[in-house]
Amino acid sequence: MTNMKRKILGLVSLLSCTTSLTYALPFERCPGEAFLIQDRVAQLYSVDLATGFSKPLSTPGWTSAKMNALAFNLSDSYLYAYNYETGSISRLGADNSVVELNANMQGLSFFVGDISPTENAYYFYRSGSDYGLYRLSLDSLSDDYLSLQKVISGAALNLKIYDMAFHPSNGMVYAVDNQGALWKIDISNNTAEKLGNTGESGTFGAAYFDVDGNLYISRNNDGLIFQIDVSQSTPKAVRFASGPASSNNDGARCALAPIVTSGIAIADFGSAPDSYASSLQNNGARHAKGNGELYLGASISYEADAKLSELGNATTENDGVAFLNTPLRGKSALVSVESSGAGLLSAWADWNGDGNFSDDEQWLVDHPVAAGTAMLSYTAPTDAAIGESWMRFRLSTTPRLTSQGGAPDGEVEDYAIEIAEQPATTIFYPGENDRATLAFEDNWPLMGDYDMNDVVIQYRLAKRQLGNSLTHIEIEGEVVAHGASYHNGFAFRLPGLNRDDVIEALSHLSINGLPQASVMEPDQDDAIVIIAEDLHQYTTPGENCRYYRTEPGCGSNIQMRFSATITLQTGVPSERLGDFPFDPFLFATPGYARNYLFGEAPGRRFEIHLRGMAPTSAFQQNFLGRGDDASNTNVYYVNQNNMPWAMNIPAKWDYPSEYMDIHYAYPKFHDHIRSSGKEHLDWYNRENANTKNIFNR
Amino acid sequence: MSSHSLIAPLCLSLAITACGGGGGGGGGNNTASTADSDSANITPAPVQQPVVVDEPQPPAETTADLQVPEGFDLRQDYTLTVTSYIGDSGGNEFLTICRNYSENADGFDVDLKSCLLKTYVAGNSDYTVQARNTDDTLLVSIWKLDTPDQTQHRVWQRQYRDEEFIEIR
Repeated sequence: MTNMKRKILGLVSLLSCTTSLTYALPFERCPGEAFLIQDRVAQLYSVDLATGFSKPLSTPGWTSAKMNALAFNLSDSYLYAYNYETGSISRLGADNSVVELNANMQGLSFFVGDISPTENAYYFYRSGSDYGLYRLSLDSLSDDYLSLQKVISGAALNLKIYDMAFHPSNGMVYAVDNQGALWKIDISNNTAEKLGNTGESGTFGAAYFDVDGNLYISRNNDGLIFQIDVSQSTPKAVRFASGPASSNNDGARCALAPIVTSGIAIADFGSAPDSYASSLQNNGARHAKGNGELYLGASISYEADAKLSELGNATTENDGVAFLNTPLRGKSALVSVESSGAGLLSAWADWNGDGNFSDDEQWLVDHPVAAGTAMLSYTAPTDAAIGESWMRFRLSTTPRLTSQGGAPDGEVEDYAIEIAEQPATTIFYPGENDRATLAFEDNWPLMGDYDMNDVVIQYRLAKRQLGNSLTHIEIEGEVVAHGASYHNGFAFRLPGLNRDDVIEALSHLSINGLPQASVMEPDQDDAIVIIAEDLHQYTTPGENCRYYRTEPGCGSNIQMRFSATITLQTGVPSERLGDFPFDPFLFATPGYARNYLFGEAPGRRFEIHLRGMAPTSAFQQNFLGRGDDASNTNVYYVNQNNMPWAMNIPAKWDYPSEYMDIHYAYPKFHDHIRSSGKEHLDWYNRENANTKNIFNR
Repeated sequence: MSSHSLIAPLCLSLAITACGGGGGGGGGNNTASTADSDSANITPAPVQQPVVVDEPQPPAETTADLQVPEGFDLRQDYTLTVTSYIGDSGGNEFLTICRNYSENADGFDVDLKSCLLKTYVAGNSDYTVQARNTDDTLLVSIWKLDTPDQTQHRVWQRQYRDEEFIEIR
């Protein structure tokens, strides 16, 4: 390297170093997070106001000073603070830089301050007749740059406040005093107006605004964050989240930023209807990820906002709570709760059925739990409202959570419950939270390719009864594969029951959360639940795929979920209803052709049932015996080898991939069949699969 | 506090499954016996042969060649009858039969989401559940709702008989 080159490189290095020292890194243009400065040696934190989750931004040793009156300057995207060590102000960068500014502070110190979003000026307040409201220009081109000017005398404005914040649009400054009074200060005409009492008192060391004009105040002693809509005629403080507590506290944020960025998954939310406070707009219960290690059950999901459920259509993402029994009025009930770690568990139940969780409906308060499962007991009040209701569980390390608002860690899970008047029985198939699988070959009456994935449905059934009388039947499931070009409908016949046994007005069917107009098939004597007339209306192949979830690389999320509750007339004896899995079947969607054995679209006259199940009265009987079908009066839907076109497997089943004979996916299947089912009972379990020949996303 | 015994008696009878027979004469009619009006101009879709991905070849038999033995209905579950002879508990006792459980130092951890039956104990009652053929054991529990620590658990063992049942006294 020549000397000249060395000199040039040395100069470049020196310039780079000088630049980094002089020009600290600003924050992003208008960040959504809030900033909090605490402690005698200042520590800077970012705070998610939606949940109260905070994390340190400053690194150890970034400053030795105590700072306060923190403010975000929209003009240059730096934070500013009063520095007790220098008696001046400091400019704080995103890179932990602290740049001292030589401001003439007239020997005064401040812990209350904010920067106007409309002018490049820093306002401070100090109570006492000798002090008041001050303005410090941050505009280096102004004549009074860094020169403190009093704008309102402390004699005229004597407030017991610990922080203040500029409104994002009206130019006013707002603050809440230690008695809970909300003040509006008009810096243009040097007046202040008391807007009323917010209902919360204390030392509110941090104040922030969001772009919608909501004021947030954080109370030092307990870290609680309250939201105040200052546009209301009588503004009230609503508990919003649980943040960090500190004796020395000051906050700032860009007042033009929303609290959350639309579409960004920020927290775990509840799922109860919004009357229970679930959505962010309704200050719903929500939990930040925290360190990601505390949740209910085996997993947790985070969302941008709550995915609301309606009664009878609860979401299935909850997995931490299992109810032993339906609570009876005045009787004990048990529930098991699984936690991933140590935390505090609280629970509420809407006992009076009024659509919200009131304070006196909290039945578990900060109950300490450890990792594992805990069995908990509760008692429904003797005057509890009979019928469907909701229960909410919240797990966090933060104590004293209410049924709404943010928490910095943990999880909330909401459950639809029923409060019963009489002791009931529920029988599940294959288990309360298990799934069975229906696998169809839909080329009936021609033999198919036995990949058993033309239609694959995973489902769960339940029947409820009081004494010996059936009261309800539940059907829920999802279409997990549709390796078919044919248009298939799907239904369950409830064997032994008549349509007249069903109270249709009290029965419900929903697909993907949307209620369907009808549940029972009309013009039938039998009770037949039509889940869908055409599964192709709900399932679509992926790009470059022929079918829905059967070909390698053609995975997609589940596109069709269904849930039905059938309410029965009083007094239907339980023994009239046939065994699980009832009688699920495919039928041809009207208007669509089948194979060449049908000259015209057979529509509802075409059915494929499990082996041995008779077709319904809508079926055209002379379709039997066509093609490879060898049905006879003893057994329906078998071919000459006694093989069926549909199989029911009482477990979640990983079905073969497209065109893959079941034998190649499950090598023990044939031996199982040949042994009349006596050997290889677990042939369908994944550990017995040739996993390369089953569908993999 | 009364205690109840959970009994799983053996049942002696030969296995007879429903809907035996089938097949045989008359099947395999490959033409429509009654014509739906328009002619059949739809050609059958070719059945593609499976492609086996580098795994050892199983016996070269496809499922199309598989003969299901006479009388085997392909069901993968069995019927279990539960009979309770316990008197009405007034809503204070609860009976569960669950698939997943584990033993611990204090007794059992029960996965309440794996239950086949959940019922208040309300006098003599019969229940019919369908268990998986792979369910060799199930956990029968009688929960004392007011005194959960007195809950009774018993493991029921499948007997591989034609009729499986549990009696609770």
